[in-house]
Amino acid sequence: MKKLLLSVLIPVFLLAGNILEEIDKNLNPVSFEAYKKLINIEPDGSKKEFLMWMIKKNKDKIANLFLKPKSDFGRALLRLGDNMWLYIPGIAKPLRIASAQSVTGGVFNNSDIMRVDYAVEYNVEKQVGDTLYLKAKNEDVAYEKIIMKIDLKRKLPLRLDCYAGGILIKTIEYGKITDFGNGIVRPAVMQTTSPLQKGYKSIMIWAKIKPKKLKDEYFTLEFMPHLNEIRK
Amino acid sequence: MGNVKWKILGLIFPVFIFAGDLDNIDISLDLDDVNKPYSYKGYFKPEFYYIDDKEKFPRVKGELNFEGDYKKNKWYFKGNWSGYYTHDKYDTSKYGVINELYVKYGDVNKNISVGKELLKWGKGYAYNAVSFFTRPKNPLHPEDLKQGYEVVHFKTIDTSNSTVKNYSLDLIYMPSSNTFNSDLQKSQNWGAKLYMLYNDIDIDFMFEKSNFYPDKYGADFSFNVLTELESHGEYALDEDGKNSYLLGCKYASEYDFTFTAEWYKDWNENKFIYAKVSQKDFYIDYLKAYITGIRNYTQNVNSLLLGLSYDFKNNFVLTAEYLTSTKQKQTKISLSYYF
Repeated sequence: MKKLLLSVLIPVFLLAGNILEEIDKNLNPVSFEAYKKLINIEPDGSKKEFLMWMIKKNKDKIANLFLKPKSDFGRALLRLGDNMWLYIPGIAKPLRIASAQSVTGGVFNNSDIMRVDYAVEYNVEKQVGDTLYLKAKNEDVAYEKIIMKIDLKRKLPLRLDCYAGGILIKTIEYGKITDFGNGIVRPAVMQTTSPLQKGYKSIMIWAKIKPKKLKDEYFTLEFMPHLNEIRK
Repeated sequence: MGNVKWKILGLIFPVFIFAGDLDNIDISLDLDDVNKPYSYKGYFKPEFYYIDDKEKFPRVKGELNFEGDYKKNKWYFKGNWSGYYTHDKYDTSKYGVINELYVKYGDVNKNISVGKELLKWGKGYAYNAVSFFTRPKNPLHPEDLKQGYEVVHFKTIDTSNSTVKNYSLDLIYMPSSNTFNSDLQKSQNWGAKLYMLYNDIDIDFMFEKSNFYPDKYGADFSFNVLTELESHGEYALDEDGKNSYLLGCKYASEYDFTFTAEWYKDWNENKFIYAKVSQKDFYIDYLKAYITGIRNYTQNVNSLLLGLSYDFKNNFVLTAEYLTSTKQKQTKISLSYYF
């Protein structure tokens, strides 16, 4: 009986795990560049906008360069697995930063802006229809649990309810599925709200997602001040 | 009536745009002004001081900064210039400084640059014991350091799949003569820095050799003790047996509260304790509050800086600071405009 149960459960678990990897694959090419516009909206309707250029290689190497506003031009973020750094022109060295902090303010935290593949940080505990129940692999991850509603046909995320300390701290919605060319069809918009920041909203718009051959050396602390040189 | 209509529309419009279906959001981005082989940025920062020293008097300062770069194939050009104006009852001065102006040739793996370049060695925020080719920082405003030295700089970066995930090597030649780096003693200086990321610890080893200044050797490190707690240190020794060091940590909470503490000794045997606390979104969004305290306990000199900085979200940043120290008290208001 035990063996029978295991033989049924293990493939279900593996399939659920594979779904997460498929979702990652559909969201991002293995090695690519993209532009992102981030809009923080306050309860009174006022907005602050950021324009960023980003590169990502494999599952957990990301570098991000701020282009706008001009006061932030040249700032850079680097993520290698669980480690994150912020480079500010004028400050001597890249500063280590935490995933739950937010360099841009608003509802997106650093791990949302510099998101590694979901499968790197989360295991699928179970799948019920179009809903995946994800559990963080370790305590350094920003959310301990995510309930992810997915588009089963396209294998893309639709809505994420993110929990930490047992409470819902954020909801992320994906929308506007767009054909970016090179076989990349994915949501162009991410919107997040939080019951802890009532009335606040942050939106991320993706543009010009293009596969790009990227050297490992671009994802180093020493190269953070020079990211703009390879964008041109 | 027209005004009322626009006000009503103004209230409804953002709600319509952002509260509705995500599919209604306009995703077109205008990238024309960033997709160019050159880029530039700058700022204008007028500052108004009230000095409370032996006498009380106002002072006006202003800085205009411009930075630009251009890339063509493997060639890269960069320049950074600041113009300063100062006026008080004692003096009026205006001058310009080329902070950086260099040309670089190569790629990420190997490149060589020639010209005036600001090198950033060391892990400390307030002070760096190992920044052998860099001017000293103002510990209250370390970001004010922009001016580099004229150097020839060869750099190589590489990565590996071993415990040393990546490493880099910098080789520096810095002459000093009537033409180059004339504020230093006439000398020939060269040095190197080896950086590596070893088991998630940033480590550097460096040296400087000179035919005038004492040779120096140093090392630094930084790593995360916990996710939110970083630790860092620097140690340098010269051939005359003098040393300089720094030990520090930085705590950053997920609510953007940051605490930095450093204990250091400079090359003049002065010992300092430095602490800075800052809070982003302090009561209101985009308002940052900070307090910096420095105690030179060798000479018994203390400084305390209280500051507030507000980002107006339209490239204007307003800053108000109050500094009280053993030597002087001053209040400063500045408004920076970034373009």
